[in-house]
Amino acid sequence: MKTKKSFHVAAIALCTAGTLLLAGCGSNGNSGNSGTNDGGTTAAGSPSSAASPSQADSKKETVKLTMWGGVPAENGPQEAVDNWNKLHPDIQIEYVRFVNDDAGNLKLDTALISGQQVDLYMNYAYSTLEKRVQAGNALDLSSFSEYDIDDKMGSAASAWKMDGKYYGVPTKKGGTYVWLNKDMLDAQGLEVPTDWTLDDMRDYANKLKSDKVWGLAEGDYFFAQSINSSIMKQSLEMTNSDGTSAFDNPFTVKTFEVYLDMMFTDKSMMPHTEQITSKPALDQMFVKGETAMLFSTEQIFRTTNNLTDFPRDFKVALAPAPKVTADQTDYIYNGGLGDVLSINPKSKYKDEAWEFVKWYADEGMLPLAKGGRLPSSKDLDADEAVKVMFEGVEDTYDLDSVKRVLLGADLPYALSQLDAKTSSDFQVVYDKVFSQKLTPEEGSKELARIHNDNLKAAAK
Amino acid sequence: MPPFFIPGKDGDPMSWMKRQRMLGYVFIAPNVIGMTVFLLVPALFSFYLMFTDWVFSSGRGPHFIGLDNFRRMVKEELFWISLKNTLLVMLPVPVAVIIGFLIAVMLNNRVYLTKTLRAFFFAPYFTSGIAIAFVWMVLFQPSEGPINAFLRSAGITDPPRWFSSPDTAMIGMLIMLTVGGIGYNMIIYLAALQDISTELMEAARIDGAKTRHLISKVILPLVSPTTFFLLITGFVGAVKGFGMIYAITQGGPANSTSVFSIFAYKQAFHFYEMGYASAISWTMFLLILLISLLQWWGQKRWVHY
Repeated sequence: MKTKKSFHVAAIALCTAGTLLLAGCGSNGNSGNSGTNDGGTTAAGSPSSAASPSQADSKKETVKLTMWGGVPAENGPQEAVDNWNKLHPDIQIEYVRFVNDDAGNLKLDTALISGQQVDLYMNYAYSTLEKRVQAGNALDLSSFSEYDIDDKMGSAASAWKMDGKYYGVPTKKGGTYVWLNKDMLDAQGLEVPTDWTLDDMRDYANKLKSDKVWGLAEGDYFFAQSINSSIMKQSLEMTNSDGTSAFDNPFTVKTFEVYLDMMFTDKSMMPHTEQITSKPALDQMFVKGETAMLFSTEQIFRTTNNLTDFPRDFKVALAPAPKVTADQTDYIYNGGLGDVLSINPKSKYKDEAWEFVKWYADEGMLPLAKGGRLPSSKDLDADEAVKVMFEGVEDTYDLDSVKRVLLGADLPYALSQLDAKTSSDFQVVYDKVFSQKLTPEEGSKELARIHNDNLKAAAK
Repeated sequence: MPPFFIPGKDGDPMSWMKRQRMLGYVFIAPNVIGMTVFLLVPALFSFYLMFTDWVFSSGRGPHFIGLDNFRRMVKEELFWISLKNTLLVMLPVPVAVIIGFLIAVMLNNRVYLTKTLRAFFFAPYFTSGIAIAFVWMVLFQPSEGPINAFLRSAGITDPPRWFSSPDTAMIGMLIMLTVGGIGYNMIIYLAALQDISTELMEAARIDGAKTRHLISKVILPLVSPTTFFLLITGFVGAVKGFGMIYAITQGGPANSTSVFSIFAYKQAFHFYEMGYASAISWTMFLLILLISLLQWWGQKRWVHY
């Protein structure tokens, strides 16, 4: 076992060095994205700073734990950690931020596998947690029986179970929504939608667009939302009962058609391929009034709540994600519980880490509400979180619609468990459909073909 | 401790030589150690990995799978797209060499603003590749970029969508890489042109050679070692090219700008398939080796030392 571990550490060191080999990409290519923002190297690279258990026992030395998370420290995590540190002088937590993208997750995985000090870390996608569980880097929480995750977080937590076990505690709830510039809606005499379809959204975008304003903007990730939402009820793995791909269906075709019409017929939405090469900051487009609607998650609170850096003079309203068709009964909204906090099995201080996990879930994460994160634990008062969320900026929101969608609506939520490779391969299909190289029907069939190929490869 | 550079007390020249050698090793040690740790050992390790199924994040060690990675690779459409694009990105190399040569010849003669023009053409070389990539992104922006604005004003109602379309993204890349390569070639040629004796040029002129004869019969043969150097390093650089393409399109849209290095990078750092990525990287290495050997073999016919 020791030899195996040594191999891994050596191999990781070599692969890291190998990245320098690979076309000199290390400095120019991807690192630019994460840059110094995630700044985890120094903190994570100092495992020796932690006291050994024996020392801790004998001298009651301070235990130092490191928690890795994707939210910028200033958007709540640092305050949460500071609060804990004040309450627990004997267990000090240091927060290390990693950017939740491929490069950032690679950094965390490298730290986990190479034995750097990562005691606690956040997972934001099922597929990344799954990889970490398979690699033995997430602690099975079954042994901590005094805390009933299902009872605290509700039945939605079970979406994060693997083989019937929890390897992390989901700490927040959220979903995908359509953010609206209320002033622009009012100017056109449009109501804030409460239950709408893709065609309605197209109609809104068309009415709201103008010379310098797009009707709607959304990131690549959101094309999949309507498509996935029409399949998730039958299977979170997005398959039919016979195990084949479920992507080739009329809802997929309809989704492609509506988006194509918005991009090329109405011109109410920036063409997808232009967007991926122009790389506009969508949140900022929204607060600057360059798009009337934004399909996104609660993460935009980071921008809409920050009136200093992103001043705006309009009210923000909120609508749920649109269904594909009005009579669609099996539509499942994308969302549910997230921010899954796991413990590294190699941590020397698993019990202390567990104490922190419970505290964080039940009360500690409240400062993160400012950035739009609603706690999922029943012990944390939702009204309190909402108060923190809108403190000082209440007047800049249409609070009725925001609260209705975030808190009030009892909508069915779920998260797809599609594997990372298929999701990545689908990007090519979206590119082809939205550059009109494939028709919506062909695109629908191509999604299914790719998914089926990957299902077959995985079964081997 | 006696200094390395003076003979030992006993005056033994061999002892002095030994110290000189040691001093040499000390000087090259940082580089040798760095090269070994960061280049040689990882390269050898990746040679081993390409015959395995090692997935970085799996927690399992590598298993020997023979040539399965190569079998899988040739079955993938993306491999063939990447191969085609990798060969395509070699095209700008000779074009940039020719343009760089012509500009160097022009600037080597007395023209106005020689120094300014030299700096202008060389600017892309000393500017960060990523910064250049972002400038090209703006230039080629389909709806508001200056290039399409010019094309529209010239009467083209539906100009290319450049990096935004799978049909034209690669053309945009080739233009960018060509322009980007000119400055370096020009500077190297300028240095080579300085070495051509003026007597030789004058003698040719007295013999009645016109400018085109001077260029084709005197200058070109004399700078042929430089041309060979620029072509061989240019092709190697082109095949390894990654940063600028990745910064603009990440290999898209629809994989239309995927080259070997991006193909390998995605397998390694998106899917953590280190075994498979090693196989792709070594295929890229073999391609570079083959191209370099072909050039080496061909140079005997046209390079004059």
